[in-house]
Amino acid sequence: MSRRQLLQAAGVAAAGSSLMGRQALAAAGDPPLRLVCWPLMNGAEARFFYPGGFDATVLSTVTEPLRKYASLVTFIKNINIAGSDNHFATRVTYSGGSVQRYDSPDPGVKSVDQLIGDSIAMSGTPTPLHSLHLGVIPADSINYYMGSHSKMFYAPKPVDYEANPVTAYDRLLANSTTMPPKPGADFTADSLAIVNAEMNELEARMPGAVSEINKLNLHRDALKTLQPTTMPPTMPPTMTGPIATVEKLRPTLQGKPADAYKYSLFSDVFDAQIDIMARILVGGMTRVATLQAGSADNDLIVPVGRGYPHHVTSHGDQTIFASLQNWYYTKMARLLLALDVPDPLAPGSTVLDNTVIVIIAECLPYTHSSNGVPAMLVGKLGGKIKPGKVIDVGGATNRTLMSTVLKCFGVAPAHFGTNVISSVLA
Amino acid sequence: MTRSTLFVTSALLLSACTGTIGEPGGNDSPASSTTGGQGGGSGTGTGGTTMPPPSAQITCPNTTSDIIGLRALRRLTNAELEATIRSAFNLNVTQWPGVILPSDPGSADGFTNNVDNLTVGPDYASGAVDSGKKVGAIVSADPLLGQLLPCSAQGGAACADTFVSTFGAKLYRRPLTTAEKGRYTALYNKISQQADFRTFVYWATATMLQSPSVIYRSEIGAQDAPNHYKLNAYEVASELSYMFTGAPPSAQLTQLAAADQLSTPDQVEAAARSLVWSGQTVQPAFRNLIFLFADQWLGLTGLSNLQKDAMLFPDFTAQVQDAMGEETRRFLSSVIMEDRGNVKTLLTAPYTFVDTTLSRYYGFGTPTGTDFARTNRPATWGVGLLSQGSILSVQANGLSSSPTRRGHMVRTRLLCTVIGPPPKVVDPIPPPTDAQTTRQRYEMLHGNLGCKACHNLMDPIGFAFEHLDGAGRFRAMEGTFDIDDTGTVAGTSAGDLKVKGPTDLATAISNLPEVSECVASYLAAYGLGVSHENAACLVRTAAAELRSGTSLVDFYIRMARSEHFRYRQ
Repeated sequence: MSRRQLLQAAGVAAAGSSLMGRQALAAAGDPPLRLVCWPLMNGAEARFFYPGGFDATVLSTVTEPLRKYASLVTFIKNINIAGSDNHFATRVTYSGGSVQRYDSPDPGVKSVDQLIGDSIAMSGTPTPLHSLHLGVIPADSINYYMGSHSKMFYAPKPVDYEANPVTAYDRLLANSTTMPPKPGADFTADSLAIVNAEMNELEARMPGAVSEINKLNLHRDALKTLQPTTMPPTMPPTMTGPIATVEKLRPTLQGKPADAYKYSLFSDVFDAQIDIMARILVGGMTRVATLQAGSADNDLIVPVGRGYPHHVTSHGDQTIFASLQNWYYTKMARLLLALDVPDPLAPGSTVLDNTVIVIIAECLPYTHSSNGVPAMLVGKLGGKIKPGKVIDVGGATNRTLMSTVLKCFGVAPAHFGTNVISSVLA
Repeated sequence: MTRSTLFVTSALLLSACTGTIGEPGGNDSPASSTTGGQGGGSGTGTGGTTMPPPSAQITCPNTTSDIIGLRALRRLTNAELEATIRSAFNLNVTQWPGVILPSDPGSADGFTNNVDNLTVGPDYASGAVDSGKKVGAIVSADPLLGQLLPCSAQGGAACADTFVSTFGAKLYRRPLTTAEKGRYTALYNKISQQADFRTFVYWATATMLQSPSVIYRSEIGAQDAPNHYKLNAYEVASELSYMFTGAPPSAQLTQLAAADQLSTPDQVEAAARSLVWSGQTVQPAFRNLIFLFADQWLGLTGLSNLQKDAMLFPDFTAQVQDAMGEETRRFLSSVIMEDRGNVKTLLTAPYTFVDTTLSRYYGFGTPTGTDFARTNRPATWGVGLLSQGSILSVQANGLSSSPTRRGHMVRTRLLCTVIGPPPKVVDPIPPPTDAQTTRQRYEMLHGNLGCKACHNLMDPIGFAFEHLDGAGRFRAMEGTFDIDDTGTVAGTSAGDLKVKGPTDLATAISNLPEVSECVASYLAAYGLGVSHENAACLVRTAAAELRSGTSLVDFYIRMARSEHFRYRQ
């Protein structure tokens, strides 16, 4: 069963859950909590990732796209990755295992998402799906991926991700019709085309004015990074019917799993996967999801400006790399927007109210140190978390962060240890 | 010693200074953002060499005549963009609260309108899109749309064209070209097949507000000789308008441009003069623009948030701070505009303005009613700009005065001396005690070899203000100690100037030609959007007039006569 862990049914997960803690989920009456694990590949320098002070709502260069939801942000500062280093630390960030080298075996322990998924499966209100795992070009190619490289979540074997949103949609949500979306009154593309034409005319008027042409290029780059974020307000995924961003890719990707790794589709696949994830989380098909966008040592082209290779750029100009990471956060903003809808499982609150997104990097760019890696939480998780702070954990580890998340879900800490970051908790 | 040798020597010696300049209750570092950008970078990474970004500014050649600067796209400041949008659609703050954009970045000179710093990054672009859409929504809704565009009730291609021609010209500050209008016509044709006329107005507005022709002031021109470009009349009109009013060209100025009446120095100066004066009355927009300049030049933007120790300065209330700000605005308005004073007047005017709040606080002046009244300062309270309570309070610490900060301000803002940045690691200055005067503390702390090379350029100037405390009030004694307010202004064109007290200091430096040149360079930097070093060589002729006693307001107007105002290279 090649994708069995993608769509793990609750029963299947429970059958293999003898190692999991049997502690109850959150107390009765708690809202239905959701978890999203969102690794931040290659991190970002602190000066670009963290706000200057202790007010998380100030945000930062990298996280600015979350502006609308700034009140939900908690920054975690000075957190170290235990048991690993460099890019191969991707395998321990959420699992809390130990991986000493690139060629070390997988950690052999369950990652935080699996423990929480198991716990929900064993609760009185199991979800139809144990957990959802989606990827957006999560490896250099599908062949590389099939070799079990570039995976980050464990049950305790590596959990598969689905990188093709058309496949993911059809397996999970395809009972509805697949009519193409109706065009809306969105003329963003026409508007930007006019602006671009004027930019070109302006540039043509000043040959040789290097500084000013450079200025226009910066402006162009900014508009390109903006384009995706200008679109979501007009096209958040609806909860029924086909998903527009998936249908857009259907002609290209249906039955073509390898093509989902084409760099040119990165942004479109990203949007589609987010829309799928949002619909599934909102509807309650599962309450645990992971999204692996890119991989730490791959050079997929991030469509910022003229396009920059992810990994190589992480070794170079950190201003540019910060702008790439900022782009990833525009995608996260899309997810937040889609989750900011009434929670069908908890009337009176939104899905976003009941969600936490756990973001952590495996190492820092350039230095590859896994000490002081960027980490943050987005969401208040039904009141379990009190956001708005920049918390300096003074060298606490990723295990402690995951243990804190487990505590919020009422799940035993297992191998993560009993330490928690109490200042995160409400 | 030249300025450059002063800097080099200072920088070398500063690196050895390890015991200076932070102080509880206030940062004593004067170099936070205003030291000319000469300091080395602070990066600790191991990356390769970083090339400086391309600049629209030039290095001044060693000549005595004016030169012309480079072609430039000057992104509007947030205030300029907001004024442009308000003017185009006649929107008040109730109808539209204004743009929401990242703050304009400050330059090494402290100005937020520098041509190199104002760029469009992702955050700005995002904010501009949001602002554009918000304005689009307002403009495309009734009753405003009907008022702005009566034909909108019927809609249609002709009305769309009217909208684009009318409001496009206001936003672009020039008539739209055929190609530009053609694109909006195409947009209309597409939208009209799917949506109503309001939708077109919405998207057309949102698009215009992203246009580079709206966001940037074009100072590009057209080539009329090798490496020589003549700005067109609309470019000159925008240059004039934003420089003198902070807003887009008025209908009158646009008419002058349309009639090609902005092509000679006389024509441009006349237009500039009309933006400053209405008969004998100063135009309010110009007055406000000078206030904005002064705030950034003198570092007064932080006045309203200034924190002083409440035990030491219990009377330094928010009301006093606000009144001090207004005092300085009245003073500047009077000296620069009503009295048409020159640099000497600015530094030595014997009067200030106080209301009842300040009269009680300072202990002089007898205003009547609630308004401010012009009042001569007591003999011991100093004169002119430098003795303004606002400046003395800002250039001080939370617990005491700061001879370093005050001296640094005079050095950098009036003498244009380049002072290197302080060392990266400095110990805080211990708090004041009853055992020493402020002067003694600073002399002891900065007397070592590593510190004094730079601090000797600043502290001895600041000592002259020591009778004026950290919150701008006169003090005859400092605790139980007598105050020594003798000081030195080292390395001037007139040699080392020995001074005693703030009046003597102001009088002495007011006679220095380099002070006039420095003030000219900062005014030009603000007006032209370049660094003060660059600005100095663009307006040498006008600066020479200021040095000879021309008034500050006439200097500002005379800058419009410069070749740079009409040509670029």
